[in-house]
Amino acid sequence: MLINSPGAVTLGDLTLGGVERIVIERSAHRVLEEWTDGGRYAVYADVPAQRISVRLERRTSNGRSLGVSDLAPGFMGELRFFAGAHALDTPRTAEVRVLVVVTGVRYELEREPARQIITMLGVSDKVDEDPVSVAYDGAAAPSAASAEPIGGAS
Amino acid sequence: MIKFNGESIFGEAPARLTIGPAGDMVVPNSRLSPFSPGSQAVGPLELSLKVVGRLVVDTDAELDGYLGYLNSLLTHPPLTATVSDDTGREWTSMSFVRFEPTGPIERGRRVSLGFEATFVRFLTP
Repeated sequence: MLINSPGAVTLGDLTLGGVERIVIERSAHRVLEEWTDGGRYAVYADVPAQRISVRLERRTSNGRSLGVSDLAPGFMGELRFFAGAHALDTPRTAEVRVLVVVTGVRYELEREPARQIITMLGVSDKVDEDPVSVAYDGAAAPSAASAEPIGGAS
Repeated sequence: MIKFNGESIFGEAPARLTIGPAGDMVVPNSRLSPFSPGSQAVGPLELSLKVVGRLVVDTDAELDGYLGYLNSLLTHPPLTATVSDDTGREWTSMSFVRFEPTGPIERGRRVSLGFEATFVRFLTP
């Protein structure tokens, strides 16, 4: 899932402004493959464990600083944002929620303006519930511009 | 598909069969006397077959049913019958002596459990 210009991005109690994109990737953490004596090709494959990686990119604007003191590796909270109809393979607006644990907060200073990169892992608080939930509705999503960037030293 | 006594006891499980070693059983003399060097052949090895595979079902209940069925075959004295594979090879007088899970139950698209099963052709006195 690649969401450009998501709206009203929050992480736990924090409001994150200036978010350019959020990428949610899924990959197999554990793969089962089985063969028989009958041939060279696998006859069974399954993925009993998958990893959900989330990458969020924010940019500074008007020379403001970026930095959220509470946001450090290990921080756990719900990442919530809206994606416009143009951002998904659907004609509707979607609200996306992911329970995440922050694994990194770093900065890319080579680009102008500088970017803050927050990397996270999706986790499930129920045994087999997908950490990513997408709710579609017809309600208009708040625009990204309505969310103020969080200031502060970083 | 591996069969025992004409039955596909592992169901549709993908599995591989390995034939155990052949030859003589060699015992170190130190087993008999601690400071004795060398070893001696005491007789032919028993034929053993090892089946390594994965039980694949749709639910935990179905898996429990399968495990119960397999346990019912692990009798004492062991159940003895013919083991056969897809190629038509047959090994007669094989005793089903061991079934061992090789890891935790995995729950992905389906419920599965890796296993190792052992069959032995006991030497008759």
